[in-house]
Amino acid sequence: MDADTQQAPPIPSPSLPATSTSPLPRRIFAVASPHSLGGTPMFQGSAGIMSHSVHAFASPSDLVMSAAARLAGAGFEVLQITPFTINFAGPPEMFERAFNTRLVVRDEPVIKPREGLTVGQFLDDPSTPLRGHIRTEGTAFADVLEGVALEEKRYEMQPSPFAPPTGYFLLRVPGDVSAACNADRVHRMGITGRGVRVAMVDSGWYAHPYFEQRGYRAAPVVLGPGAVNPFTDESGHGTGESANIFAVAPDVELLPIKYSPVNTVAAFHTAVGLQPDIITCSWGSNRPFALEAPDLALATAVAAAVAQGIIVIFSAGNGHAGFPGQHPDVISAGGANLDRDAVLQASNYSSGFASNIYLGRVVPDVCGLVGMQPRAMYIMLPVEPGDEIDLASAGGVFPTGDETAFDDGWAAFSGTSAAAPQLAGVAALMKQAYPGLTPVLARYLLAAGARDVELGFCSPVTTIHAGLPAGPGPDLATGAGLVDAHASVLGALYLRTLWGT
Amino acid sequence: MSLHQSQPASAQVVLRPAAGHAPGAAEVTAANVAQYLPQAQSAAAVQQAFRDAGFQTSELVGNSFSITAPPDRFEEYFGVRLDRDASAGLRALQEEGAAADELPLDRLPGWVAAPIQMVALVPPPDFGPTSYSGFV
Repeated sequence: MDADTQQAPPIPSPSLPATSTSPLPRRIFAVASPHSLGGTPMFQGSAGIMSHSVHAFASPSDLVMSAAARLAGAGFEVLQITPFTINFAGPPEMFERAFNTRLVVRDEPVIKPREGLTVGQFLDDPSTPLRGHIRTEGTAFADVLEGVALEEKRYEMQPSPFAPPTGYFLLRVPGDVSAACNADRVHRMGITGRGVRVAMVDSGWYAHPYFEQRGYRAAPVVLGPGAVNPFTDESGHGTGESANIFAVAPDVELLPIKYSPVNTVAAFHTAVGLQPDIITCSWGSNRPFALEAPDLALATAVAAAVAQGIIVIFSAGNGHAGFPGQHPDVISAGGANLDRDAVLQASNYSSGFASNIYLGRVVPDVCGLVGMQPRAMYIMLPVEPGDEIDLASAGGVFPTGDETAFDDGWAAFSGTSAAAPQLAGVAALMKQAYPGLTPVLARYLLAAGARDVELGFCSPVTTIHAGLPAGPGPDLATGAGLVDAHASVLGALYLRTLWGT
Repeated sequence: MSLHQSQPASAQVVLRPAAGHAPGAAEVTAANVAQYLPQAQSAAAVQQAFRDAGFQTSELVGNSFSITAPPDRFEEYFGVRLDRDASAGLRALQEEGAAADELPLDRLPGWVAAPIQMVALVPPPDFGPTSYSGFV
């Protein structure tokens, strides 16, 4: 039979998408099925191929070898032979000549990692109704092959927008974090952070389906000087911690700035350049007694930002004497822990201390929600699948591991890294309630509205103390206490009635 | 650790205040930051000098801006050898073998070096994304 002269009858396929303008690839991979022992072709579409029936789709070995030799004789590369299929490859014109057909590229919607819903290209033979299927009837291969399937590009699975279950108590975003920060009541007042721009300088931001599912708004990632890969968050830290902002203030506009870890000052500059209302930073250095050279530049940048009216929030530290968390102009975020029984105590993972550098400065100002030692696995947060945090926290039983998979895009963590964005969320709510909010007023209202923390000890802080107790009233362990969005926003609204917007 | 030339290096150029005196270690706050700001015209000139020398410069915020370039551009311009340390970040190797977190200014043209207080190599933070795997 001459493959060049035989013509397979065309079969209309009215529901298939239009062909693409993309060219055919130079090398096409395909899978051929020699005639199945059971008599039902593998590519019949509706065939239910399962473990109990798969034997019917095997082919006699001599037929398989004969088919492979026929493909090789036609010029194809035979890559793999199994009892069921033959994997082979060749240029598009070889396929078209051998199987008397015409191949096209179709554009179809796909969900790509880091790109979300977009368009992918798929090869097709338009004469068959099943996408990617090539018929063999009427060709030189009809007696050995029952059909051919064109391989297609597969995409990595997207992580679930829903957090996985765990066998221990933790907080989930957005609901638990919002409720524990007393933000739900504020949302029901119609105050959700709308119109407020929050810049977050961190490890980057991955467009996790969690954010898309809930309609949160994030601007494209801005790279700080020296940073690379705007679509990737290799750490997962920035992605996860940003969920704390949205939990408290779901309608803010997030401005993610990805830093190079050895060029943080410049990334902070980039954030200032975007002129946001609030900058939140969940990182810092341990500076128990003195600042170092780059700290002076960062201190000046922080001071300049606050002088411009930008509210700047930094984490106090997780056993560190955190800088810039102890700079007098920042709102310093400490940690308080709310357990399953709603008992509130100081987080023994979070820093509290009197600064030896800025005399009279006590840290923190106010607390967010933070877990306990040893690893503060307290808030289930979305991360980029397989990133550093996903890998590092996976495996084992709590508290050794967070009981999630290493590549599921979810991890349980907190630290004062979580507290800072929670405070940023509350500051955003206050800013919407009272647009005239200044950094000084924001710190005052956060502290004035906070829930006092009277139990527990903060973390030991390197070379300064071995842990300080929380007690009635403001204290070094927890500052003014756990942030209370409702109380602080009521304060902001009161200022609005006094002074207008 | 050897330097990958494809991985850019960055440093922070800290400028002297317009008033002439250097800021104290812990004095700069929003209330007094204006006293520590550099003279705008000389800041712009120094930024341009670095751009002309093949560095990318960031915006000036407060008293500093960053410069970014391949490591060999830094080594050539400042006359040092750089090394990347996993915990300390980028360091300048000195002749006696010690590592410094500041770059020397003596190879720079005098008018460029004059308004510069220091060119600092910024170490990674002690807590935050870069230290997560240690759960610090």
